[in-house]
Amino acid sequence: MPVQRTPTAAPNNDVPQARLGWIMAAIQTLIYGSFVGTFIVSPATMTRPIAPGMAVTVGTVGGLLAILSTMILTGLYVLLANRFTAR
Amino acid sequence: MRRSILAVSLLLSATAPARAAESGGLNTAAIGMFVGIVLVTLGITYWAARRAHSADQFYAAGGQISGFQNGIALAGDMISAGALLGLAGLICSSGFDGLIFAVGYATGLPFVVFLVAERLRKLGRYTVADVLATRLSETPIRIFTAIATLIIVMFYLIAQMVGAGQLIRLLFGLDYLYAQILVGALMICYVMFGGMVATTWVQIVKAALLLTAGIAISLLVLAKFGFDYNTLVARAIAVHPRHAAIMMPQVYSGSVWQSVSLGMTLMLGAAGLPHVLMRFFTVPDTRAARVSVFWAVMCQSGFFALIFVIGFGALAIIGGDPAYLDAKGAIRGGGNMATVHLSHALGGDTLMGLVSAVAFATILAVVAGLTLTGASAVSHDLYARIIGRGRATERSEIRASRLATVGLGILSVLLGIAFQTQNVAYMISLAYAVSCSSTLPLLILALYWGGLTTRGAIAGGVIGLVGAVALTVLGPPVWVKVLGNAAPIFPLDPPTIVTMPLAFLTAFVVSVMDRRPVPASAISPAV
Repeated sequence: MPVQRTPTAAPNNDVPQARLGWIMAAIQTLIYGSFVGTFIVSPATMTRPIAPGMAVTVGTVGGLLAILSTMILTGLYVLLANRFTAR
Repeated sequence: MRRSILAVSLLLSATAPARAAESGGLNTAAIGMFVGIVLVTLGITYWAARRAHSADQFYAAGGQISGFQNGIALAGDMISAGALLGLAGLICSSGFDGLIFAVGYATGLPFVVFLVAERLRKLGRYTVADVLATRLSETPIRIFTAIATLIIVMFYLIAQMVGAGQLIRLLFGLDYLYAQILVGALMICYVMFGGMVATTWVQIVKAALLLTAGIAISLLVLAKFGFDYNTLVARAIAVHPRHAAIMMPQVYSGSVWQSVSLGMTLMLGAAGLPHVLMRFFTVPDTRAARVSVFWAVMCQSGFFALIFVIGFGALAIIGGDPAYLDAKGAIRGGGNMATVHLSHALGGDTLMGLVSAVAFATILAVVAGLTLTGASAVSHDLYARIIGRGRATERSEIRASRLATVGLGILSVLLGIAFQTQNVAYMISLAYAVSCSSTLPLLILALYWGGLTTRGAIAGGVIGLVGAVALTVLGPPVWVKVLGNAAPIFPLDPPTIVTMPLAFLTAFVVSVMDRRPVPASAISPAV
């Protein structure tokens, strides 16, 4: 059981944006983890073309979506956290 | 200070064009923009120098940088010359690998946003150690954090300096030795006279140039292929000798542990890099810290998405053009020249000049940020808070940071010269591994776990730091690639998957066993 050792600046995990931060970090890990994980577990899935005859692969689109997800998640976090602190 | 700036400009005007003329093949656009960037950044420094008189101004720009400005500067910190030039080169040589790094680096910054940025701004003043010292015993934690900061900064700085010297020689025909002295003199000048104000604005100028150049190159690449990304990728696959096999990343060809360790390092490394974390002390409040990371992620992730176009574009356009290749079919001047050649193929001397100048500005901005961070660790953590405890005045602290800046600048020039012919590729990966295994675990535990004790923090941090350095030396990057042994003693590069959990575990176990500094009031009644 964590015991608070110092009276100053105790970490406060109960504020909503702290919980929100961990949730967002978990989602981001999941997205990036699936991108890396699919390459490791099933390379054939990631190197397959997105449609027959195309050169662009599933992995390329997956990488772009993973990058896009960083923008969406950060935007969402800032929006929600600003709302929490405004209250 | 006016005199020193003049001296630097003289050094510049005396050496740059003269050297360039000797080696030939250089365009006036590149030299013009190169001189332009130096003049603009020195102008910024001159303007900032009149403000950088207090410690608050020197370390944190007086907390006066707006969220948007800080966001652009932060994106600048995250996108080093390696990202602009190295990733496209990596895509040209081994295909998808470059994109793996682009995606990994892009996922790093959101973690800083979600878990670290706001609390850091709330608790800290100038350095990461300030944050840790709010709840741990000050002297030991400051000494440890300052050492970890200096180790990360020095490895990062050497890698940048060696890269800078080689790049400037290729881009502007300036001799390696002069390039080192020039970069060293400019970075000392920015940091010593302009502190964080100048460092931030140099970073903002560079980030704006970088994004503009990135967007311009991407649009020109896409225009060449009728704005059809599939045609571009098809051409890239056709050009590369391994064809469709380039769509499978080579970095994932090793063991699963290896792939996971690399993934973890890329994703989490940024959250422990002191020069990135220090940016959050420049904004007025936590809300501005949040706004700044929003803009930083937009710019940074946007840039890494452009790598998907620039990288394949470099491969598709210059990969099949003998004018840009050497006798063996590799890129003339090495992988770092891929983006530069691409800009030449797309927009002739003018665009190539712009991209070369942007690369130069990138190097300057990144080394200035690193030097400021290292100098702060010496002057604020070691000198003012430990050696001169209670006696050091603000004036003497600033003097110490200026001395530390000169010292670090000279040291990095000397090391840059010493490591000229060495393979320094491992140094960035080492800096990331140390960051993941020492500063990051301590920060996360200090910010989120009330049970962390000073002994636990020091034990965890030391184990993580020593482990990361030792296993990198025994691993493939140093044991095999530098020392030339046949097989590594430790198989993983980077070793993060071992050292980071080890650091967390050690900090946890030692903290739980350490009963010493419990104030009576904090012991729960149940015990």
